[in-house]
Amino acid sequence: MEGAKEVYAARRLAAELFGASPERVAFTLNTTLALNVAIKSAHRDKGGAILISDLEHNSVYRPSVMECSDVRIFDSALELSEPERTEAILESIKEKCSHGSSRFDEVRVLVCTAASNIIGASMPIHEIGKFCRERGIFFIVDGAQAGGTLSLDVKRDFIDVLCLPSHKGLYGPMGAGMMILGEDVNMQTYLEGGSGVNSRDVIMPELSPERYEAGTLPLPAIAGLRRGMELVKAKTPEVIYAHEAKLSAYLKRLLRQKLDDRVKLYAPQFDGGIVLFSLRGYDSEEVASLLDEHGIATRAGLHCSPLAHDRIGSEGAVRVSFGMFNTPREVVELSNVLASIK
Amino acid sequence: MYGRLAFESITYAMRARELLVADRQIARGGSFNIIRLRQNETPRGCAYGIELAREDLLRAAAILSNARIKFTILQ
Repeated sequence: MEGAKEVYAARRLAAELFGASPERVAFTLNTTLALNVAIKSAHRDKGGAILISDLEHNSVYRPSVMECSDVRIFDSALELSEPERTEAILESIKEKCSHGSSRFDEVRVLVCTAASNIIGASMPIHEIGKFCRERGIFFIVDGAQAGGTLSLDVKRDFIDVLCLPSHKGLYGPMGAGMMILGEDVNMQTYLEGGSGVNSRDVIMPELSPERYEAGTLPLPAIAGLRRGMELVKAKTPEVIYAHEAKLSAYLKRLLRQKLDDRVKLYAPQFDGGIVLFSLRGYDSEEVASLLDEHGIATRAGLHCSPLAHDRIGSEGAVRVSFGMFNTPREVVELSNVLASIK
Repeated sequence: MYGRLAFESITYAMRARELLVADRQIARGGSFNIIRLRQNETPRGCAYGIELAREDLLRAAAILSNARIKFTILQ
């Protein structure tokens, strides 16, 4: 029972952070599993086409393609500023929804990242959610990059399922993720197994969250996630975001000053706590390896987001991703190490 | 004398407990502990319960119904 109390406390905190009630918070092993369950369950219920953005991670792209033969991609309008950008995104969504001449061609499921994991660009989730709700389109949000920094509210933003990891902006350990369900969402199950209740039933329980939690929960990871969420709640996502945005703006300024045209910055207009760049004459993996020798951890390559890299014209780059514990001093050190690479 | 409320979800049982403990009009006659119900109390096998004073069952039922928490009353 002590374990169950720990899990419930984590549900309660997640519910508070994301505008839901505790029984609408279902734990998974990571965001990828949450997205697979949400996308496949929703599509099996609704049918039709699946619409995703051109910034989606493989954890959205791959299950969508495996599940549905008609996956459409809408434009994230990165070149525009607000409010034109949101208008252009909605126009692209409408255009993709109106393909086809029969009801079997209709878009019934829309999956969108709340923020890109390679350039930090956020998406207008509230406006997209409103659009989907008005048209009866099931709306799934990948909150992996945004959870803990951007404001996401399942009720306010008309989200049917919000998928989140423990180990990014919620400062928990690897090994847990969440599906936060809208109040009236009731999906077919995709995973079945032991549920701890109604064991004589052949099917999974009717009630969430147990309906979506087959098997043993990753209790140690959930306990860690709970502590991480307490930290985020105390600090507030707004303060964390402002801190990360400041560091990423500072890094971009220093890279331009110290490296001039040797560095290429991708989508620098977005200050989402991420800086994506490449160094002329160097493969991204080489740069990341050199940084690693100086004790600086970055990630190179395609970041499991080939769609997004194609969208920005990159064939692989180095990603610096800031958190609340990074400092301006570290930014200076990073820029000095990059400047020293000849 | 005590009665029990039965829940088909430990999460709902915990949520129910929060609401009942917070209600000032409910007497503190029961334990409010969440318990595993006996197999003969649960035809579908495995469920959770909260024990409380018989005279509080009606009020508890109203509170939980308002909160859309599914439960069964076991006498």
